[in-house]
Amino acid sequence: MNRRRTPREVAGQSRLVLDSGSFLGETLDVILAARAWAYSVTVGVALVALWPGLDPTFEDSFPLSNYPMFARPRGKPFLYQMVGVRADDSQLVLGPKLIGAREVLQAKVLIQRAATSGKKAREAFCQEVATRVLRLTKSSPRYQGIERVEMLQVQFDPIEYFEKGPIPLSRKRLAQCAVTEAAR
Amino acid sequence: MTWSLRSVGPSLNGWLFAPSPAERLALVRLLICGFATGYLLFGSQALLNVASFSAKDFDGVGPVSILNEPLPGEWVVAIFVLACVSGAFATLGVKYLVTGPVFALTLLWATSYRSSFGMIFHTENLLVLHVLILASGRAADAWSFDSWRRPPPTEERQAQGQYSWPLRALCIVTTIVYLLAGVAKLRFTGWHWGGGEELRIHIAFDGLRKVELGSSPNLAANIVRHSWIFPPLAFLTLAFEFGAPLALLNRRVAVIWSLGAWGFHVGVLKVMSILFIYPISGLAFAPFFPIEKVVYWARDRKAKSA
Repeated sequence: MNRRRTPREVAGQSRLVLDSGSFLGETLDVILAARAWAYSVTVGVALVALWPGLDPTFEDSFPLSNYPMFARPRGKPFLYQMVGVRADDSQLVLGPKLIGAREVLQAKVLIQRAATSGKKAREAFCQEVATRVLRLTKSSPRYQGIERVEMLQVQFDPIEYFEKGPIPLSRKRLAQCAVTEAAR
Repeated sequence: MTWSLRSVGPSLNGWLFAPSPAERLALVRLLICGFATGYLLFGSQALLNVASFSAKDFDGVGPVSILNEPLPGEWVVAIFVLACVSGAFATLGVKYLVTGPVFALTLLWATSYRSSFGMIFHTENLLVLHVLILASGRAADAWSFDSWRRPPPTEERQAQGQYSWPLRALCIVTTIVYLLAGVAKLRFTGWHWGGGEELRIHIAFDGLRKVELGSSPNLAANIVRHSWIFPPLAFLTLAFEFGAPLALLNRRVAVIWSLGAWGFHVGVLKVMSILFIYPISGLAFAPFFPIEKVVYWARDRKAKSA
């Protein structure tokens, strides 16, 4: 059934008739090209966006992601942190700015990366943080009295942390360095 | 209703190319490109800070994975500026055929680059994908500088569905993002994620991590003690994630699903202090709805009152 259709008819139909010699034929060529582009983009984007969910390696990336937030079982994970220690052994957790990050999760990654990169990397990172702390000890009372910086690996039970209090299941010091002018 | 390839073809065409006004896609462009440009400007410090990050922390993701080491700082700034300028032009619809793709690609690069230093910012994925899709369609045929200078044949294109398919593509990608989040929960943890205990541990861990890394505590401390809350919360989360594709069926389902997804993000913000600003703004769900009617309604109201 080869009858010519108006563009409006074509808009709702899948069967297209091509007649390249006429004005309508040219219009249909344009419509066909536009539709091919539309299908390519829509199907292409959908498949590409779906891929991370089908990818056997299940690696996360950007902007295509498998959105693993809240998905992996947590159990009782280890956590790496940087603390400032005073002469009386009291401790102060050092926040993201002192770690060299803006966000807390970025700070977490930076500490974790240093913690798992060998002794030299841990000590260098510790020195970097100590230098930032030293600058603050002069201007902020909160950081006054901090004598050394420690990199710790701690483990908590997440539920018990809030139900019974912040008592670590385990605690290990990975690096330490003095907060002195020598750290500059 | 009988299903066959013969019936699926035309109905898919009819759905994808349903006549839709140029103004709807144009308003989505104005909102989403405008939001993305504002996001760049307000987040400029975070996006530019990476220029001074240590090379040893660099691990390229997405398109940035072609680099073995970070770009010189001037390049980071130059790409950022290009993204902001092209974003402003794309929002206003100035030479959109050029500025739209340039904006989409520079936004993709700038956000990917930011995520290449230790932490992937999952709050930006959907926004970037949406701007990429918008750049591939005729999103500036109305309410734009281009259309004001040279009015395009919008009626013809409307009948051909050229303003419809980009909106459909935006909706498809939105639902895929949520579906994948559900799939990840089953792949990593299994169906027992729906029992609620894993969600409770996640919220508790997120709270303790923030406290132990020197940030202020959030609502996690209060909510984690009430274990009964979590099974219904986990069930609802999975239901909205796996039910996301249903939002493509019709507008009523889309309303219910969008409200549910929006509510989920509000909950995440309240409990975990994680701001998914794009969905919370509501703009991520705008392509599902005839939003141009709001403009007509406001215009009519103004005319009546005048």
